[in-house]
Amino acid sequence: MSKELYLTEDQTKHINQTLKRIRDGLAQAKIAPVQEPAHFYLPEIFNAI
Amino acid sequence: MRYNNAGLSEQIKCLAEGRETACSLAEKALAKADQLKELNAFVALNREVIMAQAEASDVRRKEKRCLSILDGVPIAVKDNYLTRDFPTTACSLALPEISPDEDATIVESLRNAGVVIFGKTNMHEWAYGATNSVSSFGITRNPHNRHHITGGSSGGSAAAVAAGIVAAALGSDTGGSVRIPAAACGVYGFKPSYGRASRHGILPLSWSLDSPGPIAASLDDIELLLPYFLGADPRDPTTKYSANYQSVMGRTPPRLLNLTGKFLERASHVEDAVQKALSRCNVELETKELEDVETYFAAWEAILHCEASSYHQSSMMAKPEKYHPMTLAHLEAGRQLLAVDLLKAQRLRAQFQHYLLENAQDWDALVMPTLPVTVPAIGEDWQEFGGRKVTTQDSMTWFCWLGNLSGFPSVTIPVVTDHSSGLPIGLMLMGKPGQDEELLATARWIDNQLRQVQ
Repeated sequence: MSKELYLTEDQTKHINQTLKRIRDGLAQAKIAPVQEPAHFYLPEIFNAI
Repeated sequence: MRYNNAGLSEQIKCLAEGRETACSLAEKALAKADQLKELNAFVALNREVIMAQAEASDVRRKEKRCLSILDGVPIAVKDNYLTRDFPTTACSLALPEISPDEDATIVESLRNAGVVIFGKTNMHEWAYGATNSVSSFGITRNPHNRHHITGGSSGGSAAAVAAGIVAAALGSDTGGSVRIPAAACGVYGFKPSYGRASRHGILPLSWSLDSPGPIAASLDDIELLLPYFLGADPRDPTTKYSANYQSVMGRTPPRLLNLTGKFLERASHVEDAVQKALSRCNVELETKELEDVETYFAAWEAILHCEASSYHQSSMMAKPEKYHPMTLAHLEAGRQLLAVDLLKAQRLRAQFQHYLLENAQDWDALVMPTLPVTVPAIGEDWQEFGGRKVTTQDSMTWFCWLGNLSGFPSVTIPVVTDHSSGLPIGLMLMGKPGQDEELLATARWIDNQLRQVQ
C-alpha cells in the first residue's frame, strides 16, 4: 500500500496491539495444513437453511 | 424498566379495536421522544414525515384496506439502514455515498406493511464498536441509568424500545450489536442466522458477519416482525435459500449447553443471576468447556477488520479526518493484516462451525450470559471480571461474536435486574444455522417459565 495515513501515537499503539492479538491468536490455531482451496471455507454449512 | 408497557402486540390490538389511531400512537411516541431527549436515542425525527405516514395509515384503516396487522405502528430504524425519507449517516461525519431515495429491503417490507417509519436511531459510528459512545451525534444514555452506556452499536434502537418511545426498532449485528444493547437496556434482541435476513440497503461493517435484527419489548413482538426479516431477497444473494418465517414448536423441555472456558469468563454476580434464572426453568442443562476461544476470537476480529477496511479503503484515505480516531485505527489495522491472516481466519471459521455442530450435537441452544458484566458507566474504559482486565469494548462483545463467526442465530432475553445497580442482566441463547424458529421456540419456553415464577 503506497499511501500512508498520519496516525497519532495512541492510534499506532492500538493498531499494533490489535495486530499482535490477532496474530497471536491465529498462531495458536490447530488446523490441518491446507489441502486445496475448497477447504478454506465451507458455505455448505448453510445448506440446512 | 420501560416507561410505557404498550408493546407491539398491545398497539396492534388498540389499533384494531379503535382505542388508538396511527396518529395518536405517533403523537405519543413523538411526545415521549421529546420528553426523553436526554437519552439521545434518535438522530433524525421529522415530525411531518412521521405524521404524514400515520395519517395515510388512518385513512387506510378507515377505508378497511389495511396493509397488514402492523399498519399504523411506529417502528424506529438504526441509522445504517437506508431510508428514503430520512437521511442515513451511520452516525459518522465520513458520510456514505448513497442514494437518498432508497429503502433497505427490510424497511421497504415494513413500509409496504403500513408501518410508520419512526425516525433514525443513534449508533456507534459505522457500527464499528459496541458502546455507542462514539457517534457524530454524541453518546446514547441508558434509560435505566443515564450515567451508563446503552451498549451498541444499535444503542439508540435499544434505548428507544426500553424507554417505551417505540415498541420495536431495527438493529444490525456484527459482533453483538443487536444483542449487546438489548441486554444492556433490558429488552429482547434477535440476530437471525447469516443468510436468512436481507442485508440489502444496510451499510455494511463486515459483510460476512453482519446480520440485521429486531429489538423489541417481548419475544411475541420479535416474532411479529420476523416475517419482514426472514426470507429470500434477490438483492442479497446470501439469502437465496432463506425460508420465510414459520413459527414452530420446540423440543420441551429444551436441552441447553452451557458454554464455559478460558476467555468465556464472567463476573460472579452475572453468573449467579443467569444460573439462578436457569435453575427456575424446566430445562436440561449440561456444561461444556469450549476450547481455543482466543484463536476463534482472533479469526472473528481478523475478518471484521479486513472486511471493514476493504469497504472503507478509498474513503479512509481520502478523508481520514472525518473518522473518529479509534474507528480509523481499527480500519488501519484491517489494512495492515495480510491475506494469509484472513485466509487462516476463514478456515478457522469453517472449523468453528463444524466444531459446534459435530462435537456437541445434542443441544437445542447454547447458553451464556449476553454480557460478562452489568452494563458499564459512561467513561469507564476497563472492566475486571473472572480474573481478567479487558477494555469495555471487548467486554461488550465477549460472548456475542460467537454467533457472528459461526453465523448461527442468537437471541438475548432479559432475565433479571441486578439489585445492587438496578441494571438489567440478559441471557443469550444460540441456535443451529437456519433453525431460527426452533431457537425462538426454545427462548419462548425459557421466557415463559421465567415470567411465570416472577
